[in-house]
Amino acid sequence: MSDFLTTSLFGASATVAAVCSLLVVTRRNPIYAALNLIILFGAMAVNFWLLGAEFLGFMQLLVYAGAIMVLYIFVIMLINPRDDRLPDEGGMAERGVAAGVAALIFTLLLTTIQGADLTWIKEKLPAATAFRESRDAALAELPLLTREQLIESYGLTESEAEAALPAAARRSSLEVRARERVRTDYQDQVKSLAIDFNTLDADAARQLHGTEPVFDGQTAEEVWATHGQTRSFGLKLFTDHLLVFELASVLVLIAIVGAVHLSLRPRRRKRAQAAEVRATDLPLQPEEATHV
Amino acid sequence: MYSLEACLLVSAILFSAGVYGVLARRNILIVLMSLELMLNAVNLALVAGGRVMTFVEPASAHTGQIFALIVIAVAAAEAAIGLSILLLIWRRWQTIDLRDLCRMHS
Repeated sequence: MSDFLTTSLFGASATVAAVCSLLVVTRRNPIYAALNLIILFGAMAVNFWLLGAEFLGFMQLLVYAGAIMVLYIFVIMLINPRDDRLPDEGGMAERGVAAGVAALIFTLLLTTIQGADLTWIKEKLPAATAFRESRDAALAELPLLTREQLIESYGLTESEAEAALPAAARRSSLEVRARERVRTDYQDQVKSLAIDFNTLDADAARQLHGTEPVFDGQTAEEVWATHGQTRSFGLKLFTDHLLVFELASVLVLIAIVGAVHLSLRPRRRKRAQAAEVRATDLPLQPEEATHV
Repeated sequence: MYSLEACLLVSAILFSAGVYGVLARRNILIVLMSLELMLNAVNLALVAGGRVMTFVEPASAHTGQIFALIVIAVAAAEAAIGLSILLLIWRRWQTIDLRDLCRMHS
């Protein structure tokens, strides 16, 4: 895909996600919030695809939009809250405090993103190569003082020149400052680079670092290139990250058992017992008691 | 334009919207949805960071995506348990208002 296409797709999906996130938290009716959330999950799946995570994008659609949101909509329809039974939302003061806290957290995140020192990543970007080359050229042009220059210009004896040569003092202060400026210029140039996903080149990265073969003598990247992203993802998941995968499966199993336990319990209760519980525990909205 | 910073910015916007939803809303359903929103925001940051790390250190390919997958599993578990508790609350008190639940201790 061309750079323009990926950039505009990212811009569109990011805008949709941001707008839908605001709609989710402001809609009064939960069904509208749920529908907005489904659109948001779709936009996030597009984001994942653009970031090279095809499998995760499909999982996002299947699990989030397909399973979790259907569960939400089932629950909304099961309890079917009429408009007059929806909770009254808080007044402006309550919303203002919540918005203030959210804005504070947003500012914190923004400062962290902008203040993070990512120079060690940016130095490996293809765009940084030109800066590095110009820095090396500039450094090579700055002369190093030789033994003869030390003797002639600074009036040292031969043995003093020999002793001074390996030390940092063999450079004049002007030279040191010039070198320092070349280095800081390079640092500033690298810092100003953006980590642009359009220019990330996996080939360049592979030349920088060798990788261990993970499967059939192939590295994860070679598997990626020949068998697709999902296969290399699965290899990584079931080799390097097996424990966390198994822990997640145990967690989901516990959640299933818990959900079944929680939602089956009232049916086993005897009718009279349940009626008694309802009669005693319903002082909040007594007129609703006949509704059960 | 399509940079790591932009992805993290989108992630921060979604996360802050989720924080607002959890704090301001009194409808349990929408609070749960805001939690899902926050988890999804973290997923985007994980995948974007993982993509950059794939470039810096190819041996760590997919790590961000794998953690995002685990977060999806955790979100599914959270939604199942949260919605069952919500159903229990509804059966017992016929309310999805968080303020009513504050009276439970008295």
